[in-house]
Amino acid sequence: MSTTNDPISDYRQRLTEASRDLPPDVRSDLHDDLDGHLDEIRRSAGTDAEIRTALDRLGRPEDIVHAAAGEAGVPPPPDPTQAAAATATRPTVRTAERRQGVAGRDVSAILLVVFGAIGGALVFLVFPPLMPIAAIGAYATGLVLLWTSRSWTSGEKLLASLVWPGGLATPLLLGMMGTRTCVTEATGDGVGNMGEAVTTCTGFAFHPAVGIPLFIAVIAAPIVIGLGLLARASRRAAA
Amino acid sequence: MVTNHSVPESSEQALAQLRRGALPHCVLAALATEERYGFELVRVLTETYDLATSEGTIYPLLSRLRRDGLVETTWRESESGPPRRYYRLTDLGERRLAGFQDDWKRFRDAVDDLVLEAGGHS
Repeated sequence: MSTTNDPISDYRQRLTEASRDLPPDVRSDLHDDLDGHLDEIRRSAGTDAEIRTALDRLGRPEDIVHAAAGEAGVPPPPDPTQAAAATATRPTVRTAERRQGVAGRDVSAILLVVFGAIGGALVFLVFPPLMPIAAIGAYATGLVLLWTSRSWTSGEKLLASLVWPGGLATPLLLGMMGTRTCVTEATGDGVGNMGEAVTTCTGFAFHPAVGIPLFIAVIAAPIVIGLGLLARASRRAAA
Repeated sequence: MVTNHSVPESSEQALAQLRRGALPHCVLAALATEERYGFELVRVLTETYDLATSEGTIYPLLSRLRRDGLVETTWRESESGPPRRYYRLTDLGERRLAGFQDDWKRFRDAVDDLVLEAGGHS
């Protein structure tokens, strides 16, 4: 995506794009070092060809960002140009441990966080007293697997934890509690005289035009987030 | 970090693994007698000693060495342009390098004895 005729500016732009997801301190260190290096290239290299050679020797920004993520102990950002890169020049050794797709552990984490409490609640059908422990235990296990996984950033983990705490069980529970029930009684005197119909309502509910979309959104949110996290884990596992 | 549990499939891979293993201490050694600025240091390691294929990947290693307290950096003015970031060894870095020199001699001699003697080469 060369937008100017200046290869150094293009390189800087690619670096900025590739390093966007690095932790801020790692990213600023890397930018300091590489800005200095690019300045030196400008100082010492004369012709366009010399500049491009020097940039080739420096290496692809995506590879450098990958190395920086590795040294910092964080998951590497996905490399959008990986398909086009020549793998013959890469010195990395692929190990037998490389996983295709998402680890079962990560899948379990997401399933337990989203559905664990509901599953635990179903224990009610078998052994009622165990239900609270099963529900809380399942969700807590999901949280532990989520936070100890190396596939996601803290931001992603926080999002999955807060939307919603308790997984889908929470909105379902609140939905059942927050209903509006109306009872209509006829105040007749029992001997054929119709009185007034009195309707008393207790509780609270949204108007269906608001309530139904709202309910769908609230239920969909953790599922969408869970799928998004699994997609990222899959991309990172293959990187 | 890529952990190498597999047997290298070629000399190229074996050398790549060896370079990666030796590189941190080679960086320390390159700073043993004088401080150097990033560009210079990276050129020495790749051009003179052929210790890495991509210059840029050395910078994350330098950051880690700094985080581990083995090197420190100072910015210095330069007449011909923007300030330069100079790297130098800390006391801990000097001690670490001295320790590695002994380890390396032992390792190098062991591999020489075994690998080079095999098949009658020397």
